[in-house]
Amino acid sequence: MNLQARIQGRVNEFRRRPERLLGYFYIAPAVVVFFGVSLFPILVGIYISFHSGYGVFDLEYVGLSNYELLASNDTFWNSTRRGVLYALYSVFSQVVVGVGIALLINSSFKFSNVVRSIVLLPYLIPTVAIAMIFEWLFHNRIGLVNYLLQEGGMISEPINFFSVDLAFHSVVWIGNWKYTIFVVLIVLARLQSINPELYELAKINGANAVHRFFDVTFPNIKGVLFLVILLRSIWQFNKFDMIWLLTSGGPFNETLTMVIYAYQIAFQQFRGGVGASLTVIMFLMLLATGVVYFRQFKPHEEVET
Amino acid sequence: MDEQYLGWASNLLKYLGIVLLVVVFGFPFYWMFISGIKPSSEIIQYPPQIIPGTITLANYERLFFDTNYLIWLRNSLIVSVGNVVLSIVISTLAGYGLTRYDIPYKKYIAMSFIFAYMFPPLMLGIPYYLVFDSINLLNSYTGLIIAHSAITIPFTTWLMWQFFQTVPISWEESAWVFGASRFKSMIEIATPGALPGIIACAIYAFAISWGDYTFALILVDDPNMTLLTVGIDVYTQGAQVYWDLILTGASLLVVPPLILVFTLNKYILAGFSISGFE
Repeated sequence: MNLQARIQGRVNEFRRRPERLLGYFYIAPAVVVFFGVSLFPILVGIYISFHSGYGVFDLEYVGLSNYELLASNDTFWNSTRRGVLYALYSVFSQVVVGVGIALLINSSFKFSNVVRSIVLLPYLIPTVAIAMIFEWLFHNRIGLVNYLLQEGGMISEPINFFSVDLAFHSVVWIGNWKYTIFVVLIVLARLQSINPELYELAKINGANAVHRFFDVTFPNIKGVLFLVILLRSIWQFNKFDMIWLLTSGGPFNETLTMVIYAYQIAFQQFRGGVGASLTVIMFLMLLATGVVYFRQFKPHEEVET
Repeated sequence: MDEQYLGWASNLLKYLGIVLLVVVFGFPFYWMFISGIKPSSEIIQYPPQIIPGTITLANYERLFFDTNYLIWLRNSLIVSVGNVVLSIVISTLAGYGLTRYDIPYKKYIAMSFIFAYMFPPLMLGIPYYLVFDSINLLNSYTGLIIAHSAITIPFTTWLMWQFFQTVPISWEESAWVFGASRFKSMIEIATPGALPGIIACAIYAFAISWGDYTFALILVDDPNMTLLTVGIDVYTQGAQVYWDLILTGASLLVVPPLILVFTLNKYILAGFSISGFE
């Protein structure tokens, strides 16, 4: 009996061995790609951040001086504040508006599929097209929005939406037009898995709409919201294309976030080393925030693996 | 009585909200398409005409034949298709491997893919530029496809891993009984079972390449290799802003995603709901 079990064990082990090798074969390409085109370049970036010069083969080691250069630079600190503010402001408004829209289109109504498709659309539209549409709509001389506001008597002079006072808000809200959809889609998926009987029960017990939201809806979407906030914060903090297309960081550095500044340093001032240091600092900030966030809210427990 | 009135009022509020949604998300598209088919002189006319007086395709003709649009379109299509094919092959294999095989630390492998989302795109962009510069991959399709797949594959692999978990292994086991090999059962049984996932991945990969501006800006400076996104943006930067070309170019950029959303939206939503957020 014992011998038989041992033989069986050996047989099983033998069977599993080539199986496991085959498993490695399946995931090998993805792992190679991941190391080759994600991790390796990151390491190169960190390496470059300690060097000056442009070009992989003519770098000169400069120690921490790229970082010191940034630390003594007011524009860098300004871009740090702008970048953090941009992320906080845009994520907060996206979550508030996104949950609202999800609640609205969760209730069934006629043509709901068409409405859902229209709402889904912006997320797949190239950012370039969105930036162009809104520059056109909000143009200070020939834009439709200014025209309608003037016709409606709300303003007497056309507004320059990309002026020093308004550019930051305009950039945030034009971005929100596209990225709020991410919040909507994920919250919507969660809302549809809530048992409708819970709402009926709350109604019978006399809960009004506000109470129903805080007693039934919110506890159910809370977990998924923590995850959405984490992902959107990372992406908004890293956002380059929308801001660059709309304002390129201007006017007067009003919309100069860290990413925009890193691009200017690396590709307009041609100082790759300093630009790389700035992205490394950004990554460390994200990492620190991520660690604290995971400790505090444990969003990964919401992800089924 | 009160109840009824409240119900009626909240319904009205709901429909007003929905009308507002459709206007906010739909009108900008209408305005772009409509402006694109006005004669150029009417486009920049003030006050603007909400319903166009004359309809013309002259702007599209100019875009096609007086600019490099067709070259950019070719480049964008090649890079998009390349990224879709590469990402699907790699992430289908990896998704299957992660689901069906007992690989040590596989949970950590999958988690590290998600970790890739934390990298600032420029943290990749700067090293790509320097490395590609020294191995002649700037201004090349290969370089762009590599950059795009780096941001596509982590997510599509995660997605395929989730999708293969919904395909019962018993389907494959019965194929093995009839003598199918492991590889054959994966291709002929498991993969068709995970087809909705593959479609979702294809849409995602296409959207990444078709919409990418950042890498297209950093990794290309040869006008013959420019992608659509960067190409159209050029018209905003000169002394004169060519709104006719910008609006028609942007309109055409919107068409493929528009078709995808209205024909395949159930796969897009399936991708979102299965990616683990539910």
